[in-house]
Amino acid sequence: MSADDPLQAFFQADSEMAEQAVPARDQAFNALVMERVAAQRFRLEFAARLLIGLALALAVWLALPGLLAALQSASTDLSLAAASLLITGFVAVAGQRWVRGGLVLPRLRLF
Amino acid sequence: MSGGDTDAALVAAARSGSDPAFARLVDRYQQPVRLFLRRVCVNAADADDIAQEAFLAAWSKLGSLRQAEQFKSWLFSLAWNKARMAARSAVRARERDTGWQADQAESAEPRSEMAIALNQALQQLPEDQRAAVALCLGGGWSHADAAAILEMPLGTVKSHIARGRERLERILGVNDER
Repeated sequence: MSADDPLQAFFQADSEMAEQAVPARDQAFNALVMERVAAQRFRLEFAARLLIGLALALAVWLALPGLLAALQSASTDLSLAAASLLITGFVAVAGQRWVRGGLVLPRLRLF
Repeated sequence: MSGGDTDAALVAAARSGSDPAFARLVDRYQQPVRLFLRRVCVNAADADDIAQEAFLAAWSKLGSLRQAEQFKSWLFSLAWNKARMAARSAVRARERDTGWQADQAESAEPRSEMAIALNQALQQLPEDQRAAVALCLGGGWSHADAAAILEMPLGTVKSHIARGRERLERILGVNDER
């Protein structure tokens, strides 16, 4: 816009008045924007975590029949293995204590 | 402006999650964006709300900004789109049609007669014309930049400005003084 533009005076007057209402640095406006940014970030992160949680729950729910069947078929082998482990562990602990003298077994008088 | 203080550097930092960097961008551009929106919108409070929404949209869409150094014009483009969407809302349009004078009278901001006259005259222009005039005559943007911001062909922007200027001069009665 040239200096002799008749509209320039109007725009200049409007700018001067508007710049009084809207300062070059407006902490209140900045705070409002950053508050909305923080709220938006919270919403996005919450939604993302919710989606991931739902996806995991859905995956478990879908895989549950297969998992249950696998557990049931393996349960007999697993129970045998668990019993073996339990006995082995008991023997190992008792044996260790006996060797170190921490365990005193009663004498058996058979004859 | 130091190297770390350029728009591109601040955009890059904000993209990687720096809130202080984005706050610097808000601080830098809040005034020109709000002044533009105050000319495009009727109500100053609406203009400030739209400005906030534009900055929020900028934060959300920073990843889609291809040229970080074009941040300012991209931000104005977002602001313009937000203003246009708000203006197209039927409720708001109806409120504006009936309540413009009341809004201006209730405004706590002191305004000179020339400023009031200009704003009244701007409100009589069609939406696109008003935005083009506000950018080029009020904000000092080039026609090419305004075309990019408003997503219009350059010829359309030039036409809007020529017609808008002519109409403003007629409404404000400055034609006769030439």
